[in-house]
Amino acid sequence: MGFQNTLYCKVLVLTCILLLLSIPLAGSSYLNFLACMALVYSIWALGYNLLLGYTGLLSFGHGAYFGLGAYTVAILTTRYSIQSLPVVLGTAILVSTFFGTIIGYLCARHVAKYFALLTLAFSQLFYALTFKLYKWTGGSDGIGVKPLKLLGLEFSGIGDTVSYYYLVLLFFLLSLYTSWRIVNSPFGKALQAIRDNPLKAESIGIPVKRYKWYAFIVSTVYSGLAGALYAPLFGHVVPDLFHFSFSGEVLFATLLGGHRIFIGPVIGAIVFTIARSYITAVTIYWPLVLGLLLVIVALFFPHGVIGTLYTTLKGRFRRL
Amino acid sequence: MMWMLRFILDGFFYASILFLISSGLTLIFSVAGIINLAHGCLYMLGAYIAATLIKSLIDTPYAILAFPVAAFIVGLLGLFIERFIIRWIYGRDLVYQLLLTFGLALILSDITRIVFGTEPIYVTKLYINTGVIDILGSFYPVYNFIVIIVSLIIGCLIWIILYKTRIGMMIRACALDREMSEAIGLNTGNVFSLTFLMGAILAGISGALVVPQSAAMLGIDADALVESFIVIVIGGVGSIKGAFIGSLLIGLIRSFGIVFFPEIELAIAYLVMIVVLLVRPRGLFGREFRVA
Amino acid sequence: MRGILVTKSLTKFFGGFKAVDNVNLTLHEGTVTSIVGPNGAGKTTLLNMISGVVKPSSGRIYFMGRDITGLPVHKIVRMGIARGFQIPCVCSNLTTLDNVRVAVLSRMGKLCNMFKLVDGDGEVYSKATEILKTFGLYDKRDLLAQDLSHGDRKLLDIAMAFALEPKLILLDEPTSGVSSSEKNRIMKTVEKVIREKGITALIVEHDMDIVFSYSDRIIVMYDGKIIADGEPEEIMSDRRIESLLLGCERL
Repeated sequence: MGFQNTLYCKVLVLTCILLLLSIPLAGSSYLNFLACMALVYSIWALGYNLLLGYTGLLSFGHGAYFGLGAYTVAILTTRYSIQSLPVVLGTAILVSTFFGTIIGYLCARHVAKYFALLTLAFSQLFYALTFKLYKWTGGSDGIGVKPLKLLGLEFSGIGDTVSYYYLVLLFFLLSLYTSWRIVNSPFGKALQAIRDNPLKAESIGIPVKRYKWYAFIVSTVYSGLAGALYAPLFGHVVPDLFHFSFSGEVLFATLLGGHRIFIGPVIGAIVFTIARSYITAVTIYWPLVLGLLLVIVALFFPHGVIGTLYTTLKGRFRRL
Repeated sequence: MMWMLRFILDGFFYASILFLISSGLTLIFSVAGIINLAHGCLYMLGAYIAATLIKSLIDTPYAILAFPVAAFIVGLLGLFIERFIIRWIYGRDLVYQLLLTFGLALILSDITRIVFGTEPIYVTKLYINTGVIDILGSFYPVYNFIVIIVSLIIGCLIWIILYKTRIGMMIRACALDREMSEAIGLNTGNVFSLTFLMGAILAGISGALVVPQSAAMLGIDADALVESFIVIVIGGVGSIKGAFIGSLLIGLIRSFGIVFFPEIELAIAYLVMIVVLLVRPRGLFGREFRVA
Repeated sequence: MRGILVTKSLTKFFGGFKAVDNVNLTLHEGTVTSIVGPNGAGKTTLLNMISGVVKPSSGRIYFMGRDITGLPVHKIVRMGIARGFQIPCVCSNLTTLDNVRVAVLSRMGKLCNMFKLVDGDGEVYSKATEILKTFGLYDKRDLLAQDLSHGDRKLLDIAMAFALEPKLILLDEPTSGVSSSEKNRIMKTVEKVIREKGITALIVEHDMDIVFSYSDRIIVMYDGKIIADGEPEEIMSDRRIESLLLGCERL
């Protein structure tokens, strides 16, 4: 289960961090951009997996909180010329958490399929609103994002990708650490008890609905942060962020890496980002390819991609 | 008073279309236990097929055939999808069921884009050709009336199939308790296929019916899907009566909203949904349904 | 003398079916009471109503003088009523230790802490291991609950209920589906803990040997009603009940 505090794991974690730190040394701004993208997706998926993997709730609307974070940054920097990094990021997280709290309250009272359906419906509300409130949001064209400023430095994915990469990396490591703490905290254990057996959880005194709500709120904090970091990276935000198919991407990325493994969503997000950049480079039929991939995964990988590969390989090795 | 009547009729028109889509979706949800995220795509496909056919047949009386043909093709597609793809994931984890129908939705909408292009197809000529009718001194399009009547007839047909036939009895039994239906020797596989066929036909016909009044364009799939979700949540999962009342409510909100509060029309529909959720979490006509 | 648990004309309808019919029951502190009766007599429904899983159609339930009718399950648990399940109800993807630890954390009101590590809490750990040792699960503490044997899962289910340090414990067939050697292991452990801590217990049980050797009082239910209530000797000497119980022992 997750990390163990063994020497082996410490070495592995250190190696990974060093590897991540050294990516800009390659000197390719495209690589930096791609790495930023992967890390932003990772933050999003880590928070999302607190719900999916640890509480057993399938949300099909987490694009909404990602989008709220991104749009808040865009509107603050472009419409109001507020570019201070802590102010902008803080507001973005607050806004998405605020809506997450309200919508989470309405959704967490429901189970399984109904929960998925409701989260999807609410995310499409924001999608529709971005078109209606075009004076603020720029409608279908979206709006541009100005760089964030801190201590005289400018942070954006358009300008100096190296500094932006380190900013994203910092937040990624922070997210990784905090979500690891949450998963191994009493609250995290309570969530896992709810996931495994809601009836038992309730009958050892866990207020199940309330804890599901809390888990929802926590996950929207991560979504908001990821969205806020996404906006300056692209320099432009569009309503598609609220579309439910965007929410589907985080579900897919999480399953790709395995929602039962702590680090799974991160691996999934990295693989997903790389795969998408390659596929979109060779074909314009990305949704078609993604759709086919999803169908294949759903039909032929009953325990998730990593899980199924693991079981198959284990069987193979045993036979040798 | 005429303007009031006009809005109400518009509301009925929207409600008719919504009812056809959402009753198919709620049937599939309650009988097979699948949230079919590709349902909106079937609707969009129905719209595109009908639009293409009407466009080429516009000056002949055969244009009317576009509607049954669109419904038939989409129905077959729904049956095909159930038989060869969805069939494999009944009883699997919800995660993979949703992943699958989501994947299907992506595939279908992208294929629609590839086949029919990104430009909307308008066949407003048919809408104009059916003419207008004089009600209390003001004119109202005949086409809207036709749609309202057609969907009422289809609604009655659904009711007859569900409550007056053997097949309907089997469908209702499956919706009530799948394991029990299997235990008494019902071929649930065939019932599921039939449900998907019915659902897809309903989606196809509603897409076809909406085309002359608006257009076949990309993106209407998600709108239709989400609006029928709202209808289902308001009416209660698995209830055709609920779908009817829910559609009527959302249809009327929409027709009044477009004129009086265009910016927040959709938000009002959501607000109604939220109120229903808080007061009656199972929807107006929803049964208590199982945790699994 | 007022009892720790009192039910007043408790009734439950499922549709038109009367599962529990006007049950008036008083449990005295520190006693072990068994409910026996054929299947469908309403024993589990009665337990479900007391623990809050099922809302009664009419009647009230008082626990330590307070009306708990209709309270949510988790609130009733916090007041001191814990519950063991007929089919072992554990969190299958958590380890045995974590299962017990969640219950201990819940008891200590520490559940809502998001930033402290569970592993770092020595007090919780020592309480959890104490319970694991009592129930003989200490050696299996790092196994996932889904990998435990049926009997061990049953024990874990009960251990989690005891980890809540309840004043009243409801056990639904603690020995069903367990081999006869394990039956006594489970019941001996349960009795030891109950007697040591002075916990009041209400046990639904089918095995008559167990019922007669471990209870202070036996209640016989039939068709949703209590038809006999007394000490084991009284119940045993009642001819009418003997035939009824022999009938249900075969089940």
